[in-house]
Amino acid sequence: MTESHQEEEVLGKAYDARLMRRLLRYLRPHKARALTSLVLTILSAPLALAGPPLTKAAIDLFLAPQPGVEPTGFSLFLKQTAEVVGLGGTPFQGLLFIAIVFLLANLASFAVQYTQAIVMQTMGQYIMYDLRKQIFSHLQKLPVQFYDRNPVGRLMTRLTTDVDALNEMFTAGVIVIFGDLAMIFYIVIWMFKVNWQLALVSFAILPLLGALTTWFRLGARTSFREVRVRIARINAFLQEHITGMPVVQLFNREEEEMRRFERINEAHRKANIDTIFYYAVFYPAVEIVGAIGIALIIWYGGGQVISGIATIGTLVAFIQLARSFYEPISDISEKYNILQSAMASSERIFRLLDEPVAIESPENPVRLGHTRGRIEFRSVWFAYKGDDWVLKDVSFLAEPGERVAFVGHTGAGKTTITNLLLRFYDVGRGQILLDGVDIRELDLEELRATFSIVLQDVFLFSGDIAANIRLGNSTISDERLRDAARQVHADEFIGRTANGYATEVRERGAGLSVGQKQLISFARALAFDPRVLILDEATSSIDTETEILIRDAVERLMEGRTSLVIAHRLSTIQSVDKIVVMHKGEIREVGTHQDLLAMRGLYWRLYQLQFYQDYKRTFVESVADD
Amino acid sequence: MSPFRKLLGYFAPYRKKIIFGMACVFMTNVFKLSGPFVLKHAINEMSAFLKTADGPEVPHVTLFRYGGLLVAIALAQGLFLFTQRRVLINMSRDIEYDLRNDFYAHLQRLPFAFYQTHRTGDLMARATNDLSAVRMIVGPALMYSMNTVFAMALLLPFMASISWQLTLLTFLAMPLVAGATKFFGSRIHDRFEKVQEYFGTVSNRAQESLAGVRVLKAYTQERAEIESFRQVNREFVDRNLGLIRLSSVFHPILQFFIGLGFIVVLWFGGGQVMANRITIGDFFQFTLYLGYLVWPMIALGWVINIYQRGMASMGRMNQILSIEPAIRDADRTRGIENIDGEIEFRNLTFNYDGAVEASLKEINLRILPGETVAFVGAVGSGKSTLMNLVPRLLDADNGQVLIDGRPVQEIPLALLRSSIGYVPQETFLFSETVAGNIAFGAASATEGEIERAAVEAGIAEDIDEFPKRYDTLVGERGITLSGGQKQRTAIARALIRRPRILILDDALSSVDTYTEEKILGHLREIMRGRTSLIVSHRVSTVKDADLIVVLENGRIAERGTHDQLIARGGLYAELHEKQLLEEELAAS
Repeated sequence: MTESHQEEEVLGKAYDARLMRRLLRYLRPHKARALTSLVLTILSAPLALAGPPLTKAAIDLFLAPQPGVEPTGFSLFLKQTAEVVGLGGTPFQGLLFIAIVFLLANLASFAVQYTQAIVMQTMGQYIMYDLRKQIFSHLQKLPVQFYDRNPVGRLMTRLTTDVDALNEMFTAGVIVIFGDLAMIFYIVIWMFKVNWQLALVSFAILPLLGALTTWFRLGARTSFREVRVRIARINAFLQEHITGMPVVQLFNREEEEMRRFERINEAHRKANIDTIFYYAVFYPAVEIVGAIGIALIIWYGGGQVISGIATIGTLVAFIQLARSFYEPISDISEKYNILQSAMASSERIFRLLDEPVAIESPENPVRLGHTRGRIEFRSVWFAYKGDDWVLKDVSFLAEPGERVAFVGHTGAGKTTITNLLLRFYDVGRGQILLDGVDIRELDLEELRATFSIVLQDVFLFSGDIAANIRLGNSTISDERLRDAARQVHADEFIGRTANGYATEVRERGAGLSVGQKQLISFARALAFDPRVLILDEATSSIDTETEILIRDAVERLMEGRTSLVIAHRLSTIQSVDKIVVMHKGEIREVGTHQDLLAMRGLYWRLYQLQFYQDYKRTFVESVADD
Repeated sequence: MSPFRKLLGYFAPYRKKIIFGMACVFMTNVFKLSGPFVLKHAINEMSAFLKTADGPEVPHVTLFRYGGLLVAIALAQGLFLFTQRRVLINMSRDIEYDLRNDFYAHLQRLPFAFYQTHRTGDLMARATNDLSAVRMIVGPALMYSMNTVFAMALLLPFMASISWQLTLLTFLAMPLVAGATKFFGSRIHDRFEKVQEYFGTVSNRAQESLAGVRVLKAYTQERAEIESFRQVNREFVDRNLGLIRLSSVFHPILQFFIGLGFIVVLWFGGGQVMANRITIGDFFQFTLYLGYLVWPMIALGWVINIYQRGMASMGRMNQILSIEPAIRDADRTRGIENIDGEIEFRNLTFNYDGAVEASLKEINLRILPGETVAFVGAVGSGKSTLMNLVPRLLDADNGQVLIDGRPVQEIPLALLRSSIGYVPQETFLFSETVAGNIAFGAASATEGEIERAAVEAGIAEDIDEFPKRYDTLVGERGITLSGGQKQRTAIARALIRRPRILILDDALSSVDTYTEEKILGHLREIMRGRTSLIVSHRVSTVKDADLIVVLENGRIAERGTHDQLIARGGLYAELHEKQLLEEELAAS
């Protein structure tokens, strides 16, 4: 799925046997529903079209019987049935019988159409449910690497638009096409059977109708697309200007912005008016073509009536049926688009589902039981892409309970170390060991449960504060949750919020300060009570008071745990057991703060340059940020 | 003004179009309804020929003439149908255009306070969804209600002239069609809205969990996440099924009611043919008319729903449109040509609407042209509120904020604002080019002026590295600026105006100390003889100001120069000390 974003636009074939076979598998659990629906669809055609044949029978038998013309086919059948049920006595009784049959057909038609709609659409919902569940579960299993390549927006399209397209195909598409075909088939057969010459004459307008529909679809589609583009512009403009209205006003830009708005508004109006043109032509044109059809039936059929070949009833029924033709034909041409986009969507969905779950637990994982938290990197090499080594021959050891800090410029490979440890990625060469066992031999869940990780950018989910600490882990009791929050000093500000732990966190934690978000993530880390803590310290500025809380909270977090820290704070650095200095993917120096300063090497220089200045800035800004 | 009258006002310029459109609708119906007459005569003539066996021969030419007549009528009808759509639906797009322009123009006049209390999403919904709903009234609903009225007005006498009993019977069945459309239409719409609403929940849920996938993986919560998505997914399906249960009835029941009409005509009308009260041609003509009655009946129920929905939407739009802009030029405004830059807050107390406590209390401060005054204080101490009062983003009571000795309300708003260079706390840039953003408030600025402002704001070097330099687009479609770059661009935008009064509301917070120093140096040059108000948390930013004002809970707690305040040992001295301490700690 690394191709360009253009893939969203590509529309290919309307039918692809390979994709269709795979799609039909989703129908399998709903076989009964699908079959019922299909049968009902086919049944509903003659019921919905009961009017014309019944009218013909009524006219030919009773209203305008032609002397010398004996009833045949359906009319004859009706006449005989009427006599059987005892309604054959007078023409009035006969007519009543036909009316009753009509009523029964109408009722049956209602029942069949209703049942069919419910069964089919319910099936569509269940299929969508299955599909969404499958896609979502698969997404959760895919490695982090996959997310590096695929923006969330695109993945969302799979779950929403693409699934919808398939639903359309299953409910409004395939089965309805059968229905339309059944309808056309029924009309054609009936007309041919009754009077094949007149049938052929009636069909003369079909090519005209087809051409007209195609012209409309193509033309309207292009101009609709234009309308969508224009309305998107209007929305973007409004969104931006509503948000930035004070700026518009402060800089006296009202007139100029009004002119710009009028321009894009005008473009939208024009696009719409272009679209109206297609409709304004299309509807009258369909009427005219229909009138031509009726004229042909009157002219040719009328001649047949006079010559005694056709009956008036036939003529009337043909005129009525000629109108019923249009709908299924225009329907089918519309279905072509539905099928086409469903094929494209299913291709994209399947490609996603086929994406391999690259990082999995081994089949027979080693069970560590109680983890001690000894971490060892043995000659680890790693590249995100090809031979671009981000880590080169990295080896280090963290004994249980030890605190190790990693320092170095951006791009030195610090974050990669944590990514590898959690098996977000697998090493290129070398080994990573937890308690002496290669992490690839461990159960993935057990491995990850060993760690709590606190990332620079705190990610909060919508839901309340408690849910953000617990993250769906129901084994964390309220008590443990509150205790964790208390220990990292998060309880104070939480207590001040409107509903305490039940306070809703708005989108991405809007409304909370950077420092508060960090405290929540600390509470999260502590509540999971890990053996190993991984802390990617935030560089962003925080007000002095929170800064002190955070410093203390970090201290609590590290207590009694193996801790790996990507450090930005002096206070953290100075209190660790071991500092690992990284440079361009390699470990350059290892030692305590004092050792390293004494070495006057890279750390000393870094300390002089980065820490001193960074630090100064961070703090000065921190006061400015509150 | 009521929403209805407001909407009527939008029709006024199009009065002629409406009348012309209405005439077209009428003519469309006249031609449409005359087609069945032709068919009636054709059928009757054939029937008469057949009945009498030796009756008048119907030559093919006659039949051909009937056919030709039908096509001619359809052509005439088509012409009017075409014109009717072009006139009426185009008009609805014109009205939509007018209404949208007015809505936006009105938004531009509404003050800052309005935007603090209205969410963008809500205003957007009114400008888009509600406007579309209103457009449905002025377009399709209007056209179809005209059509329904004319169709009924013409059909009723035509049908009654065939058989009034039959007409009576059909008119008993057909209102069911209108009723069903109205009933199901509105309920289906409601359920659909609920489904759509929940769809938002589903997609937010998924969106978040995909965006936060690293956290979920690190804490091995994938399974809990899948389970929680399953629940949302399930609920979504259930709501959809609720909609389906309702919508599945709608179409079949409509068909059923329409069918009833035809059954009645076949049975009762057929009987009348047999009793020789009406001819077979009449019968056929009547069935065709019945067919023509279906759509106006559906339209009737549909139009009622659209009208209700659209008027509710018009009401929502009108809520905004009828808000009188609180801040604008009024009778008090004098013809003033220019501003010198003296600012005075005279016994100023300011209360936000509905707030319990005043945000600013008894502020007295006079700032002379050429002075630089700095404001410090904790969050919520009222600094930004005070800054907002100067360009009248907010309005205090008359006479509490004065410029050049006059209440700000007496100064024309356009002059007031064009004399001020304002850099707000939250930087907002538009998605246009860098140059366009800098020259935002100075339309006539030359390239040279833009570049000079960029240099002064310390952003020029950054811009030189952008792919298209000053022509680089800002935002999603172009380059994403860092917080500091945004702030400096906003400073350039203010400086290019060479304002009499410059306001920096915490506008250097994301700029590093070195660059800050440079910018402040430029400012001293540019603002010589002009007034500067600077809000900051950083001692380094404010220490050289002519006057430093410390705000606490909306009151002035301290005022003086840097040295005076340090000597005083109050809040400012404390802040200063804290910052020094941090620096030392960092250096240790």
